[in-house]
Amino acid sequence: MIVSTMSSRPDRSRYLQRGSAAVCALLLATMLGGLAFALVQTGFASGRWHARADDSLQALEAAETGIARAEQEVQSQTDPGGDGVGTLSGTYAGSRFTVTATADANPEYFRLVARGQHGRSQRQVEVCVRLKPTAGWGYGVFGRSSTKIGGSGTMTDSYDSRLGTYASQAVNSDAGGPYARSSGGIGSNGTIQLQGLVHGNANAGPGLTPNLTGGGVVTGNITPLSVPMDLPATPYADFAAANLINQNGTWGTTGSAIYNPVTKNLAVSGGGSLTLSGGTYFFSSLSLSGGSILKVTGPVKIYITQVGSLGGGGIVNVTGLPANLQIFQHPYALPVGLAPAKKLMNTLSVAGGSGAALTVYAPYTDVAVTGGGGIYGSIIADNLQAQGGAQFHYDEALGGLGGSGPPKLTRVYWRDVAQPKR
Amino acid sequence: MRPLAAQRGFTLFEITIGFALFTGLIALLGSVYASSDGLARQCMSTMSAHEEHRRNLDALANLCRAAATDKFTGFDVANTSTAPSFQCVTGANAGVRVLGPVQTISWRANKDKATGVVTGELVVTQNSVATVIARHVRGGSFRATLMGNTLRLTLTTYDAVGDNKPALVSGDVSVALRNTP
Repeated sequence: MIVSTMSSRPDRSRYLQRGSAAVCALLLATMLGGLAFALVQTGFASGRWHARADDSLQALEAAETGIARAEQEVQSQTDPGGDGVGTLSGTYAGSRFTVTATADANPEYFRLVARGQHGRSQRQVEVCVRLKPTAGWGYGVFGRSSTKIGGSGTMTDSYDSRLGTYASQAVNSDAGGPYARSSGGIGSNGTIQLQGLVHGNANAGPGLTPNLTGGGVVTGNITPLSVPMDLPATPYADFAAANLINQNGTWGTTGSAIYNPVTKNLAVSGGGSLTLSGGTYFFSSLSLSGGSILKVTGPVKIYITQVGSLGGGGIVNVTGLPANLQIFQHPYALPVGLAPAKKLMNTLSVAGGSGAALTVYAPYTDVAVTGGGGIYGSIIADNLQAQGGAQFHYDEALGGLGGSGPPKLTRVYWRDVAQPKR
Repeated sequence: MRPLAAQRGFTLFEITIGFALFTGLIALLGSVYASSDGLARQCMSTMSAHEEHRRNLDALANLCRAAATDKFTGFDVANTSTAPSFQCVTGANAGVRVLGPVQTISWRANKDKATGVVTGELVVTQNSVATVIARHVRGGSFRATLMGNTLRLTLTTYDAVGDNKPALVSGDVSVALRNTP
């Protein structure tokens, strides 16, 4: 019985055929598997290379973050971590950085070396920064070329207008009489000639010491500046804007007042007064003579391009805050068409008095302080002269005033210490 | 007694059909393999070109990052150059920057074989010594554009492995120059 035989005895050749197919399939699968494995490996290798490249960039970013933070420390001269100004470490977006700051032989320069690390990649960056002093407002008076103050009763000191009036703070006394604080320094990028008492420092230009005559006394140091103070001219754009938009004509006057709206020349004489409310005023020339006074009732900025003569009856800043009367002077050819002022036409005279609270920023203008009254605030001039025994009471609140202010940080160079290999 | 079916051979018709089927199957598999292989090669080639391209751009960026902005030369009126020269800042002496030697990046031909592509590489020449900085760069594709403190570098990288149809990758990198006057 063939049928029964076939059902009871499996066909052996068919098994053999199935076996060979399985071997072929296995071989094919192995081949394809190997190929796939190779491709996957290649993909992974490529991925790893890209990851390394990314890590390198992130390490560089971390190093630069560290540099930025170190620069902040150097600029503010603070040391939150207690490890030295500019030296710090930290993390940023999963990366780590450490910065080491080294002071240069020149005290203005710092070298910052930052190391950033992300994964196994490291980058090292070196930056040299310069902390350039621009704190002209740190002095009661500062002459870009020279400072010459003297006369009987000449004295400088400081107070803080945020704490009250000068009178309320003048509780100290010495041979020169009552005074408030001892931060009323004087300075110059050039020479200093002093006859009087300075409650503060007297810092002349590099390599120079103050010439103390007639019993001149300095209670602070007389160390010369290591480098000249950076005193840039007030930007032309500021003057041009003030020339274009101002509150000229909105003032109140008494006495004789003549104003030319074309040349923006104002002259007040005959014992009159000029009262300015808060705002910006622009003049080619401003003259107060014959005992005329300048009265300020709000925050005022005055821009002058030719001659300023405020030596009449004095200045009365009723707000009592020097920051509320800011005078800027520079010989720009403004209003348009006006020739730039020559040296002799570029002067400012200021008379002191009990209400003379003001700041003057005129680093390219010769400024003369007339009379023996008090000046509350700060004056920056080219050649500054005060020979009438004036008293300068520097307002410490001016430290953060714009136009000068804190030291300026500049980068000298940047370099990649360990550039990654290609 | 062996079953009749096991003893019986194949007819010519069966063998012909079987052979035809087998040949068709092999041909099908072969064509699938060939197209897969081509695709795989193309993918590999493109991937390789991308890798090389990024390597080139990174190397160029690292080279130029420390260059002094005011020391770039060789640019036309549109501030574009195909062979820019520059100097990197290496330090400072008494507050004055110390500059390294003049370096020039330029393209030069090489002996790569890639159909339809002018093959070459970018070299940086310093003191008359040329060093390869970017490999497999197509001729005429490299240019540098200076925009203020930013240097933009553009180039096309090819894959030298792909002999028939090399993969091409174009792109640019903008480098914020750190040393401004």
